Amino acid sequence: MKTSKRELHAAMLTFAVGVLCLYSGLLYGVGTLTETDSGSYPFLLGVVLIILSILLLIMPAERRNVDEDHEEAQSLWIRLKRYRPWLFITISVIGFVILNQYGGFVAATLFLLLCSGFADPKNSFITVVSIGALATIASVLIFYYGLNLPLTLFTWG
Amino acid sequence: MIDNLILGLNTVLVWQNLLYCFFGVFIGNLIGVLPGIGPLAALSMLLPMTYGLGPVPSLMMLAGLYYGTSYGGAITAILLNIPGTAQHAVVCVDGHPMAKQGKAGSAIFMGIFASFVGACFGVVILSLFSPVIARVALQFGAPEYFALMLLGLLAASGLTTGSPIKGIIAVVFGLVFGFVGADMFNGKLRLTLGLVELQDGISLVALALGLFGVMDILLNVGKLDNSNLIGQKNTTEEKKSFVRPDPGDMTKSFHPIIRGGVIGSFFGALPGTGGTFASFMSYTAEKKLSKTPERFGRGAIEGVAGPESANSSADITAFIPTLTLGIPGDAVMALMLGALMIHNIIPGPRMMSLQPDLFWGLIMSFWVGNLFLLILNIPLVNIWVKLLAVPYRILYPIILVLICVGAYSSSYTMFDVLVVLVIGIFGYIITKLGFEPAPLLMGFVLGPMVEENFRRSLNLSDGDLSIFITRPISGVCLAICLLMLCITLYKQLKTAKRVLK
Repeated sequence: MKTSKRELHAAMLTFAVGVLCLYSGLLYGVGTLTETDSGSYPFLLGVVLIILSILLLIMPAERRNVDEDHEEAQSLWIRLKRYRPWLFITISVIGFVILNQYGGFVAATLFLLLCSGFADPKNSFITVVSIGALATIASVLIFYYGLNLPLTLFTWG
Repeated sequence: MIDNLILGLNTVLVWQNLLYCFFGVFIGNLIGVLPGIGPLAALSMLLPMTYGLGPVPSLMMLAGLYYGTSYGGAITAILLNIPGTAQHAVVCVDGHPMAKQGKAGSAIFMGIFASFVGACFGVVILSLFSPVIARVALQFGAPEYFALMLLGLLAASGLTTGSPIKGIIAVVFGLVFGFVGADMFNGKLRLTLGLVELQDGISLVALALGLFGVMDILLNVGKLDNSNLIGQKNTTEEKKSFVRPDPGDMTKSFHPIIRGGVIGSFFGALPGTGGTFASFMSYTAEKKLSKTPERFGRGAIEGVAGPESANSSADITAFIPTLTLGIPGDAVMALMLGALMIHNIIPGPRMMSLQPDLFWGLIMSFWVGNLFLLILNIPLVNIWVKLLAVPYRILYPIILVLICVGAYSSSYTMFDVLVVLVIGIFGYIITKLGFEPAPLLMGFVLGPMVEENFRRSLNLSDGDLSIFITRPISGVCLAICLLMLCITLYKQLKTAKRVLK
């Protein structure tokens, strides 16, 4: 019987965050009980997280199931396809930040809507373009003219 | 008491406040109907909008948005078998079978009516008990607050659906996010990664938008569809009488609504329980008390009326610990607490005496807001049903724009938009690993206060840790915490034994 991969990864993440807290606690100085320093609280949280990660590892709440084995057997392409929303949404938000600086709010919003729209494979090209155009116009009307947010509509370079 | 209620009414009945209250409940209602957007995401998106407003209209709008979702959530649960919010999950059990039998109108009407009566219960309990609790809380010092917060955090972690240890870990993750920035005692920078923007810590709006906005989108894209919508398939005759109770349903629902109101009022006020727990308790109680329990699960109106009344009253009484002690009972209340602090209001026992207009105005706005919802919902249900036909794949890019602009408008820097993305991805990863984001938000909001009260207690006692157990209230709270920890470990051990076999 193997422990579920999910439990193993959860314990590893908890342990890593715990070590980071412990290290930063020592770095900032723990102080004494009478005079606690900035690192005392992170140090305490680090200890708690490390203990919890060990408990999670020795007391797993789920076993390795058939789904996990099935997932591993799937081809790389099928597994990569599952990350499509992840990829498109990440790129769309990063693009929004960059384009807002170098192209203005209109270009940034249009890019955000177009790129994120393709995160769902069921969205057709026409649907995405329509949402992009209409929602960009609505955003400008609401946020720029309606709420007077300090946004630059167009900027170059 | 009467004077306070009149003061509250005077505050609410100012047209500007009424307008914001109406706006809040309307948007809340709309969001409750749309699957894939919860009250947390909605509150996070609207929070930056309140920066330019005064504290009274801001709070009324946000509170209206919160309990407005409670009304809308039942509609998706009944028609679509998808609970708009977690607390409506139990309504699916009987509400959806009723809709399949062509009784969607009756189920929706009883849900709306029960929500209104339940909320009225909650308002009465809140008005009666808040002053009493606030008087007691005036005696509390740093150790008591530390112990109470610890209790609240542990209670919140215990409500997670998966592994109980993961619930505690999620809370501690939140505490870790909470200490990023300058140390409140000596100004030393912690985990800022050398970034000036992080010196004031991670913004609450960015964290909430990341955890409940971006993460929800990442989880739901390509998975939510509206293929099983029932209201759309109704015939013209059925649509004409869409929201109308069937004869006998009112009589059958009378006692469940009263019982639901009482159950919800009680569990709503307890930290870590809230509307979800209350609605499940109400459903269980109705099934146990029913002479025909076999009807439950096949379309019993009591299974809709009781839980709806319970979750609405719980939504209101959940404000008791938040407003009187400054300790939120769940993640939504943690966000409300954050909203109060953004407007420089320190929630706690002194709020009632220092800002009586805000406190009593907020309480009376619950009444007015719920009345708005009752009046609004009857004619609007048909519109909500039509709106449900809009596929999620069209909604989510628009939600993403709202998230990005919301994050930007909270600080007018694009840095917060990137923080939202990073936290959204982190939230997605931890959710996939079986952690839940709600306890994390609780930990984040309470984190700085937990640290402050912990270190202040140690300073007061010259480093003597016994201060936490020698003071009666703090001692009792810590004993309960210990008991809860033991129960958590026992539960985890039992599950682990089963798994390892």
